[in-house]
Amino acid sequence: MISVRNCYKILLIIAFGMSAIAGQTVDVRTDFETRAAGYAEIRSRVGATLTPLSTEATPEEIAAWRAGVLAGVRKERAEAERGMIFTPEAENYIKDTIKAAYTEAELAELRKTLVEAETDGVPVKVHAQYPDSKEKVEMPPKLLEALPQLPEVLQYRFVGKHLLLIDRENGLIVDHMSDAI
Amino acid sequence: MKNAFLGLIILTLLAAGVLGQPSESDENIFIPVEAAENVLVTLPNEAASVKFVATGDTGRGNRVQHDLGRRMAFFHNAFPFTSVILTGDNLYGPETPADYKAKFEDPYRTLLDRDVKFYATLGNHDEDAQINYKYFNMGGNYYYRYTEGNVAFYALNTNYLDPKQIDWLKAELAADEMPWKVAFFHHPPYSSGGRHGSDNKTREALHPIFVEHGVDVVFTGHDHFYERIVPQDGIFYFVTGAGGEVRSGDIRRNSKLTASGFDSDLSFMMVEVVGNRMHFQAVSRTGKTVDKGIIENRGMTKEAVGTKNEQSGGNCNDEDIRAIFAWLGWILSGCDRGYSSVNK
Repeated sequence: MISVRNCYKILLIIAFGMSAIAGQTVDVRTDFETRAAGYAEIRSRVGATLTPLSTEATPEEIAAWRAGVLAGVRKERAEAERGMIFTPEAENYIKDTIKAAYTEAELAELRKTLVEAETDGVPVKVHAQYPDSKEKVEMPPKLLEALPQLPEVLQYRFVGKHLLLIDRENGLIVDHMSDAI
Repeated sequence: MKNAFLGLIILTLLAAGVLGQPSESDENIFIPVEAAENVLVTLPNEAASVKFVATGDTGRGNRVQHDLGRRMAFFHNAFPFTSVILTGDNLYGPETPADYKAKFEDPYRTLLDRDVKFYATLGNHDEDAQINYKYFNMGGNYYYRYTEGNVAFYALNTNYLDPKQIDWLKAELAADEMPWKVAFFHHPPYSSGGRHGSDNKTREALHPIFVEHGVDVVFTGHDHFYERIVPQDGIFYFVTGAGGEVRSGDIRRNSKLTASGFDSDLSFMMVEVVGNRMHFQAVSRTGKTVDKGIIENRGMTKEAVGTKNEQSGGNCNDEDIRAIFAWLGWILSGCDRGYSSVNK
């Protein structure tokens, strides 16, 4: 028989446990967003060294800008490797977030879309550039609402079951995680 | 002499309508603009109206895209539209400076030289870097709003409908007092396409916002054909994704969504807004009117007035001219080639 006193104790332990888990979740999300913001800072620094790109640019100016940013970021992040933004904790958090956002049927439909996409041959590795000849799979709005928010220069993109972090304007693969769905 | 006589007989038969017209499904027929004399504009073509063209999935740089570009320029002579909205997939494959030229600037050179403004959105084959391209007029934005006359245009990025974009759209629409609100983007919330079809994710995200804030008309692409959708909660959706390639026969014939469709050749739409009426005319690569109608804006209640399919007039049009040249070529070559090969 559990006494009333013991009952209070159990409830207190559960409450502490739950708040610790919630705190940890917030920390993982915040940590991920901070790391992504760190990339944006590097990107901004590199961009500042180049001739600014006009919003009425020619294709030649766009190509030069993309190449300049790409080279600059690769140099600044020469030591970058997989997992620097998608830390193991962040990967687990993102997998859980995706599962929570979707029903099994929706996940199955998303997997089907990803299998059908023309993304074969995309090199899934840090520092590689997403080929401009390959399809960019539409990111589900519901998922974008649930996932941690990214700075403007970055976006999520699926390649098969991989989830990539891509630099929007030059296609640089900044980080990636496998078996995201 | 004998060949010429045969040619005359065929001309006579064609004029009498005895011989059938060549099928619209001959995808690779080259149509010299000089021969395309048929420009049948069914729109009111008023001086002070808003005139624009809608097309999408254009960026192939192939011969048929050039054909359509010439056709658009030819119609521009009679119907001086000031802008073209692009529903995405503006550049397929690589995107080098040479590709921008071959897949966009060359096909639309005449229109660009006439200062027709193109407003682009991004499709799943487009690099985000396009947002800074001068001729796409995106102003460095992934999504944006602009106005012409009494129409507000919303160019959206359905590749990446993140909360920031959704919030922006809601806020802009809530404050928008323009009588006409038009949205355009790549993935169609409603489509009868066999290859892609309705994009449920986009529909789930956008349609309720459009309903709540009174968006009138939506132009999309992705599926490579023309389709006018049965109005959804008072909103008129169009798929106009046959600007560079057609996916022949892709519209599901038993679809309940289709009000009108055309999937046997490339096409574009001409649109004219006069007061509370939006007139539209969908035109094929060969200049045939494949759909037309009027959308009447009565505040939140809109209805189509007299929309129907209509083939271009009964006079000798460019279809006939093309047929004549094809048949004459066949006869003069000694009838030793098949009819279809003459046209390719």
